[in-house]
Amino acid sequence: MANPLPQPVERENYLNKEYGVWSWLLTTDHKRIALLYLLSITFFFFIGGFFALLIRLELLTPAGDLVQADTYNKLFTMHGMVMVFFFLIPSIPAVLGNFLVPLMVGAKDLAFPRINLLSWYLYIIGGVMMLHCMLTGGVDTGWTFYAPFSTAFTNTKIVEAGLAIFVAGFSSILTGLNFVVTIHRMRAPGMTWSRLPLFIWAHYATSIIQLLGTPVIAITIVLVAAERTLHLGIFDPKLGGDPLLFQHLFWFYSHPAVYIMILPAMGVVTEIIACFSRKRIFGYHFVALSSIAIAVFGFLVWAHHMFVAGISIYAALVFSFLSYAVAVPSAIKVFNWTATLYKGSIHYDAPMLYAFGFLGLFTIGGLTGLFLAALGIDVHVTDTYFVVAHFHYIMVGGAVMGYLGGMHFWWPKISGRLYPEGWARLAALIVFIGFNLTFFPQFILGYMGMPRRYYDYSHMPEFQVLNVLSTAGATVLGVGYLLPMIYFLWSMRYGKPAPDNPWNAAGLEWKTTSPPPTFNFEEEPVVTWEAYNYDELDAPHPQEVPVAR
Amino acid sequence: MIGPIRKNSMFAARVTLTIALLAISAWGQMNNGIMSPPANSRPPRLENVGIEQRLDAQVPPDLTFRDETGKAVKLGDYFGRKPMILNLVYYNCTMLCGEALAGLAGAMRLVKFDVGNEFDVITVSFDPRETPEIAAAKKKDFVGRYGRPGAAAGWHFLTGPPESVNALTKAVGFQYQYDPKINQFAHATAIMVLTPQGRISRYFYGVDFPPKDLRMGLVEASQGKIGNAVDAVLLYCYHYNPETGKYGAVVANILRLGAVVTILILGTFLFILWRMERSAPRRTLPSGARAS
Repeated sequence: MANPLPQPVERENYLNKEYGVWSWLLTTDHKRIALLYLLSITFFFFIGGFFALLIRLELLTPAGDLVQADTYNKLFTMHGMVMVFFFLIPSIPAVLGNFLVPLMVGAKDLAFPRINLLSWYLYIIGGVMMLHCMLTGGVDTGWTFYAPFSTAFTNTKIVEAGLAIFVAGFSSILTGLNFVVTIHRMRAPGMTWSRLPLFIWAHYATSIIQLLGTPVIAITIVLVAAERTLHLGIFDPKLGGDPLLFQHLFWFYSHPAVYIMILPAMGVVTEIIACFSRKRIFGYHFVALSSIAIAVFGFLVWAHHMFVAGISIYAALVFSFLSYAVAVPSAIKVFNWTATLYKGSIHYDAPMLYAFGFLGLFTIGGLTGLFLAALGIDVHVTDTYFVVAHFHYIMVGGAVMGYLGGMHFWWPKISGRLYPEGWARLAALIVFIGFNLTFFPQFILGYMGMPRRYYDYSHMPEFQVLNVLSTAGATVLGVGYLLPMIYFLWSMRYGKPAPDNPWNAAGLEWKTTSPPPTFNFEEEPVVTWEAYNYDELDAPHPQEVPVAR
Repeated sequence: MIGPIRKNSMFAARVTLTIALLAISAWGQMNNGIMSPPANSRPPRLENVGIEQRLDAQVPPDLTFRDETGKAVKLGDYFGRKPMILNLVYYNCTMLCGEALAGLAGAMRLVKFDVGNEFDVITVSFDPRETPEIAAAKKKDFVGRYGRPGAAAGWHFLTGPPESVNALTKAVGFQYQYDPKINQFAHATAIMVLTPQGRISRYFYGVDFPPKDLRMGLVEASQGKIGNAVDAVLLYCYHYNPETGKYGAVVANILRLGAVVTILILGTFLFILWRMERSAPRRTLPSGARAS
C-alpha cells in the first residue's frame, strides 16, 4: 500500500511538516495551496467590500455628495470585477474544493499538483494587475465591459483590467482541469461514481463550466483589447462591428459564471444538511444529476440578459423558456434538501445555520430570477435595483453563505482547531439579518423604478428611506463578515484542538487526522459504503454519542 | 344644398393639405439648411452617376456585341462554364478606365486562378461609338500586362450598339452620363463578379482590387467549381459586406468555428477519461461490495 511517510511519535501534518516562506510559496500540496488561495481571496473580498461600503455611503443621501459621478462609476465597476473574478469564482472551488476534492475521493493530491500551484500564481499575477489597474485609475464601464463604450469612448484602463481577468481566467481553467482529471482518475478503490459525495458532483459540474466557458470570456476580452488598440471593427458599429455580438459573448460566459459560484455552494450545503440532519440525502442521484443539468442548461440561457437589447422576439421567447427550464434542476435540489430535513435529527450548529440561510436566500434569489426571465416584467425592471437585489441574493445570499458554512464545517479539518461555536452562531445570525436588511429593500427600490449605477437620486427623494435601510444593513453585514475572520484567526492560536471527526460526519475527509498529513491518508482508504451513511454511523455504536456537539 | 357645402369643404381640405405639404417641405428645407451637416449633394452633372447594386440580377444573355476581332457575339456565348468578371469602361477614357483596367490586371496577377482557365473577364465599352479596332489595341496592351499564357482566349474586349449598351448598364445598375463639353463620360468604376450563369454575385468598387477579396469573390461565384477546401473555409470566415464592397473577416463565424473546436476538444477529453475508466477499473472495487 502507498504509505511513504515515516511516522514520528508526534503527529505530523501538512501544517507543521515544513516551515518558512518558501515551503509555502513552492508547495505542491493541495491543502497548502488552498490556504494560499484562502488568504488571497480574503484580501480581495475586503477590497471589494470596501468599494461596496463606499457605494452604500454615497447612496445614504439622495444627492451625489460623497464622491463624484466618475468616481462612483469606478467604484461599482471595481466592486463588481473584484468580487466576481477575484473572490466569488475562486472562492469555494479554489479554497474548499482544492482542500477537499482529493480528501473526499481518497487521493494523495490533485492529479497535477504543479499545475495547481501554477493556477495560484496566475491568480496572483492577475490580482496584482487588477490592483495596479485600480491604483492607477481603474475602470468605469461596469463589470460588464459593454462595447462600444468600452472600446471607443471610455479612457479608463480597460485593457489592463481585461488582461488581469484574462490571466485570472486561466487560473480558473487550470483548476477545473485538475478537478476533472482528479475526479476521474484518482478515486480510491471502491469509490464509485454513485458513492461520491455530492460536493464532488457539484465540483465536477463546475469544472466543466470553467473549462467550456472561461475561454469565451478570454477571447472576448482579447477582442475588446484588439478593437480598442488596433481599431479592428468587431463590436463598434462605426467600424463595421456588432455591439450585440459583445453582449452575446460576454453573457455566454458570465451567465454560466453564476453557476460556477452557486454549484459549489450547493455542494457544500448538501454535505452540511446531511450531516446536521443525520440522514442520507433524499434522492442522491437526482441531486447529483441536477448539478450536471444546471451545467448544461446554464449555457443555453445567456440571452435573457439581452431582452431589451434588440434581439429578435423569437430568440427572446426561446431564451425566456430556457431560463424557466434551468430553474427546474435548482428546484429539484431545494426540494430534496427540504425532504432530507424532514424527520431528520436536526442540529443547529453554525454550519447548519448558514445552510438554512442559504436555503431561504437562494430560494428568494432563484424565484426573483423567474420574474426576470419573464419577458414582460423584465422590461419593467431591467437595469433597476431589482436586478441588483436578485443577483446579490444568488451570489451573496447563496454563494457566500455556502462558502461561510463550508468554512465553518471544515475549519476543524483545515486548521486542526475548533472555532468558538457561540460566536459563530451569533455571526451567522448577524450575516443573515444584515444581508436581508441590505438587499431586500433593493427589490422594492427596483420595483419602484430606482435605476442601478446612479450615484444621485435627488429627483426621487422618496427612495431615501429604503436606501438608508440598505446602507444600515450593509454595515451590519460587514460586522457579520469581520467576526468569522477574527475568531478563525483567534482559534488558530487559542482554539481547542479538533478531534479527527468533530461532527461525526460521513465522508473520507473525516477519516483522516485533523489536520491531515501531507499525503492525506496513512493508508490508502478502501470505500465499501455509500455517501451519507448516517444511519450506519449513528446506529450501532452505543458508546458514542451521535451528536455533533 | 348639400352639394356645394361638400364641395366647399373638399376645397378647404385641399387647400389645407397643400399648405401643410408646403409647410413640411419648407421645414424640410430649413432642416437641410440649418440642422444637417454641410451639404453632401453632388453637382447636377454627376447626379445620375453611380452604381446601384443589383446583386443576383441576371445579366441579359441575348445582348449582341462585337468582340475585338469584329465578330458578332452574344453575351450568353460566354456564360455557362466558369465565373466571370465584368467590367464596364470605355477605351478612349482619359481618366479612370485605364486605371481600373490596370488595377484589375494587377490584382489578377496576384490571384492564383488564371484568366481563361478558372475564370473569364468580359470588358465592355459603354461608348457605342467605339470600334473593335480600339478594343483590339486595348486587349493587346492589358493582356500583355497580365502576362499569363492563355489569357487572350479568356479576356474579351467588347463594343456594341447603343441599345445593347443601355440594356447592359441598366441591368447591372451602372449609371453614367455623357458630358459633351469635354467629350467624356462621367461614371464610376466598379467590377462585377458573375456566376457561370451570368448572375451578379459581387461588386468591387474603385480602381484597386484587393487580390484576397477578388479570389474570395471568384470562389464564391463559382459555387464550388473552383478553389479548394481551404478556400471554402476561408470563405466562411470572410464575408462580403455590401456597404464597403469588401470581404471582411466575420468575427462571429470565426468564433463559431472556435466554439466547435473547443467543444470537440472538451468532448474528446471527457470521452477519453470515461473510456479509460471503463477499460482500467482497477482503482475501483465492484460497486456491489459492501461491508460493516
